[in-house]
Amino acid sequence: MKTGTRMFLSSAAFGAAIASIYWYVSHETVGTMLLALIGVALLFVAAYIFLTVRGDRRQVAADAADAQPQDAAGEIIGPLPAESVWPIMLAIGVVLALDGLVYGVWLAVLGFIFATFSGVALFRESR
Amino acid sequence: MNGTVAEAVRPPRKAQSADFVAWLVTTDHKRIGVLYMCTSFAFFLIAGILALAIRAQLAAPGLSVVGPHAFNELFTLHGTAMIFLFVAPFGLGLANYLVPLQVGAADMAFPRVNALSYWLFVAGGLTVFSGAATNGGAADAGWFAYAPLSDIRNGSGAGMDLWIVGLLMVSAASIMTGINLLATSLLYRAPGMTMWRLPVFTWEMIVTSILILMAFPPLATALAMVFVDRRLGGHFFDAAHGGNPILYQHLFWFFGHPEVYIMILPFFGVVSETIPVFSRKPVFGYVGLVLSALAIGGLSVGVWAHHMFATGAVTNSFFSAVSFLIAVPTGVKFFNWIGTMWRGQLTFPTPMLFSIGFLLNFLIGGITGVIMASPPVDFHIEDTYFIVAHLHYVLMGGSVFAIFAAIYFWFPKVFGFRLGETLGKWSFWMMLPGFNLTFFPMHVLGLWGMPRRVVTYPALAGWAHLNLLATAGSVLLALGVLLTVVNVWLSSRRPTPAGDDPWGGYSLEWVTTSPPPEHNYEWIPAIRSERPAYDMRQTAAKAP
Repeated sequence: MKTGTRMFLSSAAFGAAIASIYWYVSHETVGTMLLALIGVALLFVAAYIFLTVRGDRRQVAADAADAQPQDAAGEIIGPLPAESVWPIMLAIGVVLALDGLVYGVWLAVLGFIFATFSGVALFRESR
Repeated sequence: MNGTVAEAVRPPRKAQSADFVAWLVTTDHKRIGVLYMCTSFAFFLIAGILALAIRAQLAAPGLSVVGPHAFNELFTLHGTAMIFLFVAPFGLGLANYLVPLQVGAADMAFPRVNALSYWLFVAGGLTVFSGAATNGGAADAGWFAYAPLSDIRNGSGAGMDLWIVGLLMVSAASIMTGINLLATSLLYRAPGMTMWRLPVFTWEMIVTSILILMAFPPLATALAMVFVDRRLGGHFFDAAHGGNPILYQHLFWFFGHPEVYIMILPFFGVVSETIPVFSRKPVFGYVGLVLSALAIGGLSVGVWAHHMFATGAVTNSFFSAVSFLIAVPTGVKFFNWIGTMWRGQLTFPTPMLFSIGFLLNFLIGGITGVIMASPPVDFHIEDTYFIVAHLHYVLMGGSVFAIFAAIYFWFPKVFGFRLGETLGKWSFWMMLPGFNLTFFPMHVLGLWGMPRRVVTYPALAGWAHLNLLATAGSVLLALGVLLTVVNVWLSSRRPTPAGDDPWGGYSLEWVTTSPPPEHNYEWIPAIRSERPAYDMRQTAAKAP
């Protein structure tokens, strides 16, 4: 993942550079903050990739120019979910909760309960 | 968490049934991709009908096809649907389908989150349109909903609130899809699929995903603040109570201009896939295409206030310079595409025609973009039809033509049969002149001073004949789109099997069956270049 890490690191450096230039020419706070936060966010991703992904066998195989298809084989990390009812249920809950902000608190509360229940079920199913 | 196809031992998925409920509860990236694309295309058809109503109203001076308030609702819903519910989501739907296939993964990194993204997108779109059923009508403040047009005094009642919460859902959906695409393309690559062997489309989606993660949070923030102002007595953007309407413009366009690239980069990726295949050459300047995508992505976050030159509240020189600069990597891409076609064995099936249409139209949109990056010129044409012409050349002539190229190119992979070539070419040859007849006159109308978003105009202004031409062109354009819809219907009634690789494609998805099996690949070849399908054909041809 050297390429990925470099990509995010260089993008973070670009965010810091453009924020500095923008502040120098404009002294405008909103835009400077937004640009600087982009740099911080990209740095976070670079650090995550660097610290957690390096050494992972599948990543080593993906990054090896002469890898064979079987090089990443062997580790069983669980079945792919084919179906789940909870994503659509959670979406319905979110719709009710947000539309409730427009139509009435009762609907928002109902939606919040529905979304919380579906979210917990989705989380439990994903474990 | 999921495995990749490269794992030798993998428990089988549960069998999927083909009924309606199975589509509702699916977490398969291919089905979700198809759902995304079909839903967004439905929003496109609705937006097109709204556009025809707008053009009918403006066909001649003094018409009363719709009233002023309804006209405001029409252009607001048209813009919202095209930008938030069609162009960008279609790109995400296409990526949903293609990215796991192109990197050699069995599914997206987070399949359930992927399903949640789709359903939030649907819910958001329906919520936006549901405003039309409220007493005050749908949102009417334009697709960028400037304060104070969107405040509680000016913006229509519940319709505006529903527009806000609907777009909050769409924002959340986009952010989740961006995370999913990024994780899939970075972490779920098959052995040998190094970053510098990823198809250009996947690279463009990596940059698009990063932009989504940068751009949508400021939009969600701005929308939440408008909602607080409207419903909870806030004054973020209320100048009379110490608020700052310009802050809204900063937040909105910090989203809004990267959003333009969120809407175009996926389709740069599409034509970077189609043009090499129909030129029978590898793409010219692969590294240049990738680096230019990264450069466009980087620079796109530094141009937001070129939409605000006329406010007098921004540093015009900075935004003008960066806006000029962004034309350079875009120009690099054009040279790459032309270089790919140069001395190639060109063929012109429908996907190639739409790709060339994209090049021609987007070139005009790009050049007018450079013109407008100059503040003195922008002062003259700000809020005129010149802007309308420019944005439609970029997004309709550019992105939408590339969407049609993608539909015709990958339809056989998705459904196993091709769309009719004759009707496809008829569709293209109606859409290309139809589009240019509709939008090219708007450049002139803008330079003559016709403001955008006016419900009518005086006969003495001299704008009538060009408006009539634009309306006639819009009918031709709509008929061209309709022909593709008819083509899908007719082709599905008498499907002709396309085979796994009808075009002689280059990227990994052409290795698997059409449509692909549940886990995408029964086997996967050794990947040795950015054209694994081509390599596999060459190896097979050399085999004794």
